[in-house]
This record gives sequence, structure tokens and C-alpha cells, in this order.
Amino acid sequence: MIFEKLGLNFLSSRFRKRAWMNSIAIIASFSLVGCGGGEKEEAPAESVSGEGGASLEEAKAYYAEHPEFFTFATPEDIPADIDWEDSSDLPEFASPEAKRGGILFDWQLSYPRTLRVIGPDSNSAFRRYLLDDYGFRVVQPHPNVPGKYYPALAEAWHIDWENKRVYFKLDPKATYSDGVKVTADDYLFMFYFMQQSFHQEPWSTNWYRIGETYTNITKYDDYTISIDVKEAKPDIFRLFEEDVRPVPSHHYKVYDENFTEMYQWTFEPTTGPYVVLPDDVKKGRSIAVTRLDKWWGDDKRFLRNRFNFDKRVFKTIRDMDKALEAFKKGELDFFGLTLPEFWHLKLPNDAQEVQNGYIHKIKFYTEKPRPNWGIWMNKSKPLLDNHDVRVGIAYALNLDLAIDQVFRGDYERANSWGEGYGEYQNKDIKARPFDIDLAMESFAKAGFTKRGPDGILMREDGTRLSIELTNGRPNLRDFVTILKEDAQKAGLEIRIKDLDLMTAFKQMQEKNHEMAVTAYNVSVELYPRFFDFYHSYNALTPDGDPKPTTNNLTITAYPEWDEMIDRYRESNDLEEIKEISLKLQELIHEDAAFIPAFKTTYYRVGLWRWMRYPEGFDTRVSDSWDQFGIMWMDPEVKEETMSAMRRGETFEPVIETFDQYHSTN
Amino acid sequence: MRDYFLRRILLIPPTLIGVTMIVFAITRFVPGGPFERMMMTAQMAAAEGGGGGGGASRGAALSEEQIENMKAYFGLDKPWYVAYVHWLGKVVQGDLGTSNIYNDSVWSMIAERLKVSFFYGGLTLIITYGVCVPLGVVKAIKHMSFTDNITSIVIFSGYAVPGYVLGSLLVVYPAARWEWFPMDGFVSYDFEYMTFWEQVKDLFHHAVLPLSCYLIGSFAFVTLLMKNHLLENLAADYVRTAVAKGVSFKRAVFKHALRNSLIPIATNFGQNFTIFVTGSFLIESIFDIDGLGLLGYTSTLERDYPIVMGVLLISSVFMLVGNLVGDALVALADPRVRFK
Repeated sequence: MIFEKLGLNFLSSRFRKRAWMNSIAIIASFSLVGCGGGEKEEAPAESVSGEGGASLEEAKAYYAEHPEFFTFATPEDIPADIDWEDSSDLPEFASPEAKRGGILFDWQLSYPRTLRVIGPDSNSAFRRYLLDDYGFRVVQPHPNVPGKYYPALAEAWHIDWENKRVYFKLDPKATYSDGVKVTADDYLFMFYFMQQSFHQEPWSTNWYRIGETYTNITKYDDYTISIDVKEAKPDIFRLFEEDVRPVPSHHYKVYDENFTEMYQWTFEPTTGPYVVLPDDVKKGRSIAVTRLDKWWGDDKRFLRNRFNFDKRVFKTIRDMDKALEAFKKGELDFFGLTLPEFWHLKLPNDAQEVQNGYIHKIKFYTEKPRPNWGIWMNKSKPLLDNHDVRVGIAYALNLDLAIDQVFRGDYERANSWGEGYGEYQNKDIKARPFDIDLAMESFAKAGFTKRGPDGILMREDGTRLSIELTNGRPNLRDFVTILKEDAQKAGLEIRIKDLDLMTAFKQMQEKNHEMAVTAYNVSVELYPRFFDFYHSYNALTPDGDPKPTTNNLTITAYPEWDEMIDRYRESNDLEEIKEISLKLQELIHEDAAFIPAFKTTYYRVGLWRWMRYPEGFDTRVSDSWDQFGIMWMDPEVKEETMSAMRRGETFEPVIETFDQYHSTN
Repeated sequence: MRDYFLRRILLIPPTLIGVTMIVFAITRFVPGGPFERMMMTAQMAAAEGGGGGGGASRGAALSEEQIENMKAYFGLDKPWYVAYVHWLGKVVQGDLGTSNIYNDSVWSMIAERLKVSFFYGGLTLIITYGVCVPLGVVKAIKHMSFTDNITSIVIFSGYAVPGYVLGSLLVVYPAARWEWFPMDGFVSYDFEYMTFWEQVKDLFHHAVLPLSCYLIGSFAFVTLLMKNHLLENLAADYVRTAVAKGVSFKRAVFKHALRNSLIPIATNFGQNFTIFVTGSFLIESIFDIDGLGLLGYTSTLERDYPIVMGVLLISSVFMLVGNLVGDALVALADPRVRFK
């Protein structure tokens, strides 16, 4: 039956079971059948020739116009004494026991908006499966050894610190999914591609602009390149792990102002193992990625024994509760349970599926920088421009209680700005606790000495201690309400402004907020970035007004901080970087315009019994159980489980915590 | 009467212009357009428990020129009235524009979903009138009988439960727990591989639960409208006179009273046109049915304004045409009615 063919076995049995229902359908009118037909998508024509189109010709002309950036050399120009590195001393992190095969059923809250990996709406949750997790760069960060990199599209590399240059020997085996070889030309084309603005992603245009981050790319032969960077920092590979990837010119034959529309639903040939087949794009309903039978990386060290599923099907389920029901039925193979209500209430340990041993519950601690969830205060606003008021507010917010009540104590109180950066985090900093006396003492220093009839503190001139708190997250509404209630005890009135996320974001971007509860994304990096958030360049316009569309939400503009941040950005000395990082975090704490709120140091997931994983479950640095593709499924265990379920047999329940990477920072 | 309908038809374009102009202007002034959406997705952390991360921004500071270019890309660089005239000009030529997010033609996106809305709207219409009108007649004839009381209890209970609440219950119990029906979708994932009869079965198997939600509310309204007006007419002098003159009760009901009782039903009939096209976004959300209601809802949330405008235009046209049809039906059903 077609279900089995598609791997939809669960549907097959159910369909047979429901034969009695089918009689209802006989009243159907013939014409109605036409209503359900899902039209097949037009298959994007894939080039296997590897020949470039007009865009490549334009790129070549561009190279000629910018010889300072695009250099063509010969193998003889490579220094003879070069010492190639290949990280061969690093351990592999996938399990040799992993088995290939099976269809993984997954879900997404909304359908991907595009298959482009760049441009408007490309930065969606689905891009992981097109590029971020399933595509490769020259080197990839080793998930078990922070700060180390393993070769992916490169075989080896050499860093010339003096000339701020990195040489890459590319792996000649590497091909795109359409069979075309990945060569040095694709990296040159990438810089041309990104430096234009046709992709409509101005941040990328800025990042790749000549001289901004990278200053030169040199092709020595088809498989050897070097790239010069503006700042050769100790974490230099950060500039390569995400942002230097080959772009197939043979795919983007035309590259002009119609780029976003033209490539909206075409799959860019990938260097990774999974492709999106045209028939698997069922808009609004489901999308799937399919494993290549023969992938160039199958036997490559650090890539082998990974990406084990033959296919991964993503159903669109627009409601988390409904997705959980689908998971409990076995229609989905796993389900994220990090949210406390799901872990404790909706799939508790005593749930039948868990107690019967069909579904395993896993909690895995992971080390990585944490999103900076906190209360961000706008110092350009009255009252918040007063340091004593800010310190008082920090003492007046009962964040521990809010975490306990709303997150069931599962999340931890964050202590500082820059959590999860290992030795670059200032662990001496402890967040100010909820303390009414200290809060009132601080408010008194700011002139708020008497209580009004409603219990809110006032100055002699009648100014009330009343601050607005913007929230754009529905799931934080109870959280901010608890803060508001307890702050009143310290004489602080918090006026909660619940907005939808987009409106809240706009308000913050325009710097019209007073206080806001929010967080920014953070990459897995060696040390935190301060420039975006704390440099006066991002705080004020030349006229001295708060600068819109920047991340400096606190409007911090201190010359002495600027000097430190500039030095921090320019430094090549890890000790100096560490010293400045710790000092800046201390200053941020003292400044009290950012109140750290909460963090999670783990993720939780429910897995059906047939899912298998390496010893220790996952890697030291990971966002989710599937990020590095090291899991697999066992079809025999699946059959055993399904048959046991039919017969009512049970297994030992598995509720496991892996805390080998539990850091206490 | 001809002049009246001609006038009504001629009023449709200015009404549409008024409605669309207001909404178009609002979309320009509410915060969070496509440009901000793009910035936000690039920078903000996911709220789910403070986990997530990844994809940090490359710095948000853009030049004025870049910001202006982005606004031009999304068509936000012109004053709203200029942009509106531009939009209207394209609409007149049959072009509803392109989705800001999906880059697909708005018309094709709407057309793809219209069939879903027509299916549910059509079936709701057929079942509602096919069941409720006869039921109303039976209830009127058998007023205060056991049948009347029992059906009243049933339909009032249904009326008290909002369709989306019923939907939530149905999706959990008959669908998820008892596995009698599919949990979601208009059809199965492998629909295109089925034979014709399998497709028919599959379509209706999926339709049972959502259709129940669509029907539950409208049942009580139409049934009682029918019953009450029929009762009223049966008690009227002209029916009693007819019966007194020897006309059989059956003939009195079906020949005399029923026709007059259908007038209020006809008056409300035009409103169905809206349901026909827009459906219920809540029911479509619950059952993950990609219909026009869900499209309108998600496009509003996602600030995909070309789609918002397209859905608004289509539903407005149907609403205006529906009202017109309602009037025409009243005129047909009641010869006394003369629109001027």
C-alpha cells in the first residue's frame, strides 16, 4: 500500500481500522474530489553541467574591477614552509554504532516561507535543514571541544597570523548535491554574491563589503585558496565557520534585482547530505528533506556516522498541544519538552506512554552562550537616567519568585550579561536579589522618600516612581505580572505594556521603551560581543538623540566604555580580551541598566523508544538533540514497540538526565 | 425594482474602494511592517524557555540608504495614498499583487484556498438548509411535542457551544485519542496517490469533524427562524380562513404558510456568501485546513499586507454580492416587496 511506500505506516493501519467510516463518504459529489488535489510543484531545473551563466560573467568582470580583493595566483605563490593543520588529533563525536535509514517524522508550527537561504524570510526555523545544520563550510566548530574546529569542505588549513591570512586546502571530493564539484571559484563567487545587494539582506552586504570583515581572497588553484581578514583575532575561525561557504554559480545563473522572487522556491544545491525534492514541497502542509544515496562526506572523518535518517518529513501543525497529541500517537518521532508546562503537565513522568516505556524523556545539559534574557532599561528616559533608580529597580524585581511560579523553578536566575561564555564570563558577579529594604534605600537616594496614598513612592515635587515595562511575549505575561505585584511592596509602580511581538520590537528599535523584557540571539562564540549593545556608536545619532534600529537598548554611551570596547575588538591577546570582557561585565552590572532575568542550561526532549543516540546522548555544545545529526532509529525496535503496544505489553520507563556538561555558571 | 438593483450594483465599486482604502491606510500606520519583521527575525531570541540561540545578528546598524532601499523593496517608500492608487490600478487589471513573504501571486494563493472554502461553505449551506428547513417545519407542526422538545434541547446545546470549542474537543477525543478521524488537513498526505473513490472517502473522512463545527452554530438559528415564522403564519388569519374554508392542513402549511415563512430565511441567505469564502479561521486553525479564513488570519499576523488586501477584497465582493442576492431572493419570495 502507498502508505508503507511513503513510510506512513501508522496511517495504513488506521485507515484499515476505520473502514466503517468510509461509508459516510459515498454521498460525495464527483466534482468535490477536485477540491483536494495537491498540485505538484514545478521542479526547479537543476544544472549538472556546472557551467555558469550570465551571473558568472558579471562576477568575473567584478573580480577584474576589484583586483585588490580578488587575486589570482599560482600554486608556486603558496609559501613553501607552510604547516598544514587538519585537527586530526580531535576525537570524532558520532557513534560508530549508528545505523542509516528510516523516516523521521517531525513538525513545524508554520510552513517555511522560502527555500532561499538568504534574503527576506530566509532566517526561519527551517533554514537549519537547508544550510545551518545540514550544509557545510570550510571548517566547523567541534561540538565537544570548544574553540577547536574540524575540517569539512577543507582538508587542511594554515593560519598566517602576521599577514592575517588563512590558507585552505579544499577537499577535492566535495560536491554539491547535483554532482558538481565544489572548487575555489565557488568561494570567489560567494564574495561577489554577498557583496551585492540583490539578495536584499543589507546586514550581509555590510558584513562582506570589501575591507569590512574580509580584505582579500586568493585562488592558487582549483582546490587552494587563502582569505585575508581585517582583524586576526584569536577566534579567527569564527569568521569562517558560518560565513564562508561556496555558492554555486551554476545554480544562480541569473543574479539581479529579481533574485528573491526568482529563487523563492528553488533549492540551492547543497554540500550537505539532504536535499529538498520538488515533490516534497507541499505548500502549507508538509515539506521533507531526503538523504542522498551517495554523499561525498559519507566516509569523511567527523562527518561519517551522522545524518542517519533517509528522510525527514516536517508536517505543519499550527498548535503545540496538537503536535503533542500527534507525538503521543506515534505520528511524530520526537517532541521538544523544554517548556515546563509540557515536561511537567502535558507529558508528565506518570503519563501512560512514559510509564509503559514507549516514550523516553530526556534532559540534557549543554554548555553554550545563553540568550541574554533580562530587563533592559532605556537610560534616555526620565527616572531611568538616574543610577540609584536603576539599582533600586534591580532590587525591587522578584525575579526568583517569577521563575519559580511561571517556570516551575526549572529555569535558573541569570547573574550577568554574558552568561555561558566559560572563562570569559565574570562569575564573580551575582545578580541583585529581591530586597525591599535595599530597593527603598536606593530609591531614597534618588529622592523618592515618601509613599503616596496608593503606596507608590514619590519625590517631594510629586513625581511618582512609576515605570513602564514593555513585553511582547504572551508566555511572559504572568512573569511580568509577578514582578509588578512584588515591586509595589518596594514602592515601585510598574505599568505593564503588553504588545504583540512585532509592535514591541518596533518600540524597542525606535528606543521608545522605558523598560523591556527581551533577549537577543547569541552565537556559539568564544567571548561575548559588546559593540552592538554598549558602544556609543550604536546609542546616539550625531545630534545626540537615541539611535534607532540598533541593539543598544540601554542607550549606553560612555567614552571610557567605548575605549575599552574598541580595544577589545582590536585585541589579539586572549588574556587582554578576557580581562576587558570581565571588566565590562562588571561595569554593566554596576550600571544596572540591564537586569539579568533567567536562563536555561539544558534542553528536554521526548523520544519514541526506537530512537537511538550515542553514549552520553549529545555533544557538549548543542541547541537541540538533532543539531549534529548523530541520532538514528532502529527499525527492529520500532516494530517491537508497535507490536508490544498492540498486545498491551510494556517496557521499563526511561526518564534520564545527562548532566555531564552541567555548568554552574 | 430594476433601477434599485442597478443602483446597488453601481454602488459596489465605491463601497469596495472605501473599504479597501481604509484598511490599506491602516496597514501603513500600524507598527511592524515587513521591514521590521525582517529585522526582528534576524535578531531576537526565541521565547521558548530562553533556549534556542544561534544566528546572532551581524549588527543592526544600517545606513539610511539601505533602510530606504529595503522600504522600496517592500513597496513602502511611497505615501500611502500613492501606493493605494498603484494597488488599485493593478487590481483593476486583475492583478492582486505578490505576497510580501512567499513571493507568490496573491490571486493564485487565494484561488488555491477558495476551493477549500467553497467545499466547506457549500456543504454547510446545503446541510444547514437541507436539514434545518424541514426540521423547522416539523417542529412547527409538532409544536410542544416530544420530537420538538428533544430537537430543541439538542440544537440549543449545540448553539451554546462555540464551533472552535467543539473543534478543540473533537480534535482531542474522536481524532487524537480514539483515532476515529484524522486530526488535521483537508485531505491526507498521500491523497494524490489514491484512486478516485479513495479520494472521495478521504475527503469526507477529513471533513466530518470540521463540518460539525461549522454546522453546530447555524443549526439552531435557521431551524428556529423557520419554526417560529411558520408558527406565526399558521396562527395567522389567512391560514385559519383557508382551513375554515376546507383547505387541508397539509395544503395550508405547504401552500400558504410555508412560502411566507421562507421570506426571513431568504433575507438571511445572502450572508452565507461570506461564510462561503472566508470560512472560520479558528476552525481552520484547529484542523490545520489551508482555507481562505486561515490565510487571512495568518497574513494579518505576519503582516503580509498584499494578501490581507486580497482576502479583504474578495470577501467584501462576496459580502456585497451576497446582500444583493439576499434582496433578490426576498423579492422573489414575497411579491409584495418592491425595492425602489
